Amino acid sequence: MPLTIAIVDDKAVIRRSMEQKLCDGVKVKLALTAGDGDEFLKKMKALPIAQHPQVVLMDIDMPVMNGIETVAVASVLYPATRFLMLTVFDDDEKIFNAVKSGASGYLLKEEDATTILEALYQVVEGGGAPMSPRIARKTLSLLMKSDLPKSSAEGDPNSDPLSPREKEILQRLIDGYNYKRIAEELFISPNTVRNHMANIYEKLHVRSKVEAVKIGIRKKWF
Amino acid sequence: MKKLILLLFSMADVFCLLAQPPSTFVRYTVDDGLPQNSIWQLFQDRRGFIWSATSDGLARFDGQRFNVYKHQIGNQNSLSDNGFTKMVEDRYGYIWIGTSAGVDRYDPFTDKITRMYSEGVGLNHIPLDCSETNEMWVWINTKGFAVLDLLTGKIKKSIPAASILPVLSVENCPQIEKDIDGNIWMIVDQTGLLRWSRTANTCENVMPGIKLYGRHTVLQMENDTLWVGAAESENTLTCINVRNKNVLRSFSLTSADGEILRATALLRNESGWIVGTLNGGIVTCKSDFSSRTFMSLTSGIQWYSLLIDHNGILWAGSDGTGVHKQNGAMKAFYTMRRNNAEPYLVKNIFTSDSLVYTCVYHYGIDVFAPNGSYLKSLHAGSNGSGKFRFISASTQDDDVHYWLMGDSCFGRFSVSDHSFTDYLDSVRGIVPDITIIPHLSALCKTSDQTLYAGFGNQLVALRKNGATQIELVHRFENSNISALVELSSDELLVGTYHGLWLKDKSNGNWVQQKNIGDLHVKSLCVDADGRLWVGTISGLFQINLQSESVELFDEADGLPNSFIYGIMKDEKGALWFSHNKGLSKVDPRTHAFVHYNTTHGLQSNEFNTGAYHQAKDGRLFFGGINGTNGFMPDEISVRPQISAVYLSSIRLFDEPISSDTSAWALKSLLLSYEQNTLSFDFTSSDYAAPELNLFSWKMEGIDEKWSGVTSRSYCRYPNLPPGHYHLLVKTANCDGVWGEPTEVLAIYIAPPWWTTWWFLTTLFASGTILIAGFTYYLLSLQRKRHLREIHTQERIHSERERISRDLHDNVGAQLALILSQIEWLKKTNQPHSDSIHPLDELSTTAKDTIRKLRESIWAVQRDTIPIDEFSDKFKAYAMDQIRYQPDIRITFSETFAKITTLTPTITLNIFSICQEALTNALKHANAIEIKINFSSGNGNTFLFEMSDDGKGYDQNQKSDGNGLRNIRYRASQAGAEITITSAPGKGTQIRLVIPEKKH
Repeated sequence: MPLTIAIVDDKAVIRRSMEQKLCDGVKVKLALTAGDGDEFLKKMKALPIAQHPQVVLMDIDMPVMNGIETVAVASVLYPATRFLMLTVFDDDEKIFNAVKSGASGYLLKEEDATTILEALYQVVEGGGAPMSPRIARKTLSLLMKSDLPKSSAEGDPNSDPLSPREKEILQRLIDGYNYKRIAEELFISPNTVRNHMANIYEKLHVRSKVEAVKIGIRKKWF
Repeated sequence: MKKLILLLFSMADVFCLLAQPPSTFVRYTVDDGLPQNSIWQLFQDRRGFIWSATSDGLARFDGQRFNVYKHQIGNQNSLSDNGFTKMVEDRYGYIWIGTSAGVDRYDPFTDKITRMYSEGVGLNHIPLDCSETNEMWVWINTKGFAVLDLLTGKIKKSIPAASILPVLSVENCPQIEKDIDGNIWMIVDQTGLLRWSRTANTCENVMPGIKLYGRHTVLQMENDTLWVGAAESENTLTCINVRNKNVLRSFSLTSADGEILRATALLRNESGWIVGTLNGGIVTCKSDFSSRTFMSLTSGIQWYSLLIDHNGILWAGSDGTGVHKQNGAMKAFYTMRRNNAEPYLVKNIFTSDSLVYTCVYHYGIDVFAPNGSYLKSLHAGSNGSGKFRFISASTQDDDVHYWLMGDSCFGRFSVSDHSFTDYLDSVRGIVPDITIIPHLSALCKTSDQTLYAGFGNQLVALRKNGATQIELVHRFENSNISALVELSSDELLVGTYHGLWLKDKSNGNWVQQKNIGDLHVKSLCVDADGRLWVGTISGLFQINLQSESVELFDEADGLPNSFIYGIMKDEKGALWFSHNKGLSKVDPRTHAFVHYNTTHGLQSNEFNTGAYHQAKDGRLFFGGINGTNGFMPDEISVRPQISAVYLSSIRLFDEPISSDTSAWALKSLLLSYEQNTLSFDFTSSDYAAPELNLFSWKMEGIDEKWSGVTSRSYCRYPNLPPGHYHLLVKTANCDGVWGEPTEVLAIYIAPPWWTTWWFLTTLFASGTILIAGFTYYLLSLQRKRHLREIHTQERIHSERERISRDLHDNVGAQLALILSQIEWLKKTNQPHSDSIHPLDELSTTAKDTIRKLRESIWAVQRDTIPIDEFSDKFKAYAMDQIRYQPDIRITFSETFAKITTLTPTITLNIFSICQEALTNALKHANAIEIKINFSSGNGNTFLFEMSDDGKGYDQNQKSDGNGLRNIRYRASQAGAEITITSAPGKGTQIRLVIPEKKH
């Protein structure tokens, strides 16, 4: 089964080069491309569920509807799909907002094919993509706040605070460790670190489901 | 016994028909702006303003505030005295005000008072309108009449009291009226009721027996009949034929204790009389004084004045408790609740032909008569158990039976004998693990006589097929069932915590409908056109089941609240729904909404899940946290919009505009180009519930659209350019009915004189004006220079923003593009198979450029960079550098005593130093273990320490290489001190410090 992806970027040449860089048609297949969030959501609606991409590479700055808004809506409408943000500049504020709105990670656009593919497989397998010290610091300070919005009274994983292990991992990310070194220090496998990271990302997803569904209904993306 | 109960109910029905909707009053006192709380006269002028005359001056109410008029020593445009007698409006719209020192005239066009006439201080002056002859008669106690010319206010003649009342001592005359023949009727203290014929100059005492005192009297003329009420009279009211002076009849109203009520204020309305009394509150009765009703006003208050305003709202003025105004927003909702039961959460409602059953959380089923009076509770009924304490769903089974469901029961209830048959055990026999979620249950009986019941996430059906057959229909994964409805296609639609579900007929699977996603459903209703309405906790949805189109209404569309409880269809097809901010009605075709809340008489603003019911007669019931509201949808009246909208004030540069015309009388305004910041207050004369009035406005000439739709009655227009403008305002009353737009003001702002054609023409002709022009030129230069200074800082900031944006959008994107193309080239065209591809270098350079650019942008974008962010950035950079060298270890540490900040320039310089230092350690010293520490505090703004275990160098032998020279140069640029220590085999230590600035 090839990995199916979607590329959302407002620059056609980036879309084309990304496609050529990543999609060999055997291991990685392209499900769709779009020039902005609105186009992406409309194309997703038209696509049968079986053909939905597993991972979407999403530009942050786009006209009409930017990547952060798009991920906020799409991650609710299509919970099975993962989102990786692509950016030229590592504007921490925007990246952090994208993660909060539902992205599973972020990459710089100039990364080579191997790095991007590695990240793609990682998120599909349920692992969390690497996190820079800055984002880790923001994550820790956000999740340690007790007044996190609670989405409903029913058991919601988002309302759990960070586990001690997750706190340890974030602290080491802030200290500039990579996954491998964290794994060594904590006597766990790098895969376990990735799983913890996936949970941390999930806890960051503070998007409002209800608002996203309502926007979807208003804009006919549903 | 049963018969007696039935009789009671039918009597209650009759009473219900007679009972008026509850009319509560709103009270205005000195706290709201009245000068004093004793109201002697209430009066509405032709513009709609309500005047309250108090013992300490007058107040004009405009819907928003009380504008007070008082006596001021030395001001001829103030009241002649605060001691008030009477006010009348003449045919030109002037208001004549009698005081104990004179008679004054209020001019509504200038909003000013002029003193007209005075016979002396301490003598009550009472104006008597004779304006058909252009005369204003003023009675001056002990002196007689002064006749004034209505327009000039000049005295035309005076009639001494002695010539009218030769034999009587006239101490005080509190009331005076003129009859249809022009004869004058007066109540005179201690004396009686006098009639003075002007033509015959005869005076007689018509009711000599009556002792009268002060203001406790009332005279009201109605055609040829005079109504007299006096505190000392034997009766409440006496009516006299003014032509033959005969007493026609006397009427007595009595209090509940049989005491005769003393009338002090009197008002005629369509259905009869409203009487303000000294000893029994306000009483309404029919024209023949039968069927009296005491209005719900505090007893013990003495009422001196009554008024029904242009909108039919009753106002009452009292002695000492201010102005009371009927709340015109009140609707015919009646509230059912048991007294002294707190809290009173109604969870479900059902009805029989004669009774209303409300299921109250914890209290059980409370039974009410249709008019809302409490009858009894079934909590501890013959069936004993506390089963009924937590009922949360009901559905009708047959004429006399309902299915009820609650925390601890599920069964069939008879409304004829209140017996209950529990089916819970039978259901448990078939579905052993059913759960009942507190407050949540759903029941629905479909047309094939099947009862569907939602137990938590399990849907159970009870079919009547001889004996009742129980069957588990479906178990919804993680979705508790919250609402059930039968669609016209005989399908059962299930609303859950996670969206709507329908059974796929082809394969029997239950499918979540895509239309509303997995929103939490509260209630379902199918409208007359077959469209589905869904109440959710996050909005109201209308779904066309054929076209699958969905429309959403929530707070963003103007709904007061998005948390929708129950939806019901009334007999006219309108939908009513309850939420957390009251009750709303929507026309399902036009989508026109009307909203109601506590100001309209609801039990509270918060309603409850599952608490809604439609009775056979069309009456609707909604339960909330403080009882149940019942109503006939047809009786919920909507007030027409008939009131005018006025400007109540105009301000220029936020100061009241100086004009001798009042704001509401001003039709146009001519201003110079410098007078161009205007603000306006407007008001509507609909006082039914002034706080609920809405306003919308548009300044034609500058506004494209209407602004507002808010209860704020204020708008401001700064810096209007020269031109013509028209300010239009429209208003909606408390029922949300909008009136027509009214042009309240035309404005012309003249252009500066030096831009008009005549000036330009004259400029060439006149040397003197040339000088003026030159002066102006100098002035404007000066102003421009000043402006330039102000904007410099702002420009620098925006320029910086522009640079970083340009770098990002153009250079950055461009480089990324180049890189992509190179990568592509590499992939498609591979002429070299040897070690290094020539394009690889190009690719590396481009990557480097992007990185450098990224760092510059990061630094330049901000005014300051916090040290922890600097550290984070450097860590990310360092980790990236050793990405493919797994043997190298960099250990970071941070000791920030406080988070200091760096300027962009310093940031760029020291970031380069740190990078250079790291590159040296990695590339030249071949270090394996690198330790980096960032710290701040202890006299340092910034401290960077790096030590490696590389090969080191002899500092005495080797002069600093190019890299080190570069580091030192940058350090001097950043104002940093740098220390480098190294020896062969001992590694290298670098210490970079920026000391804290001493102030």
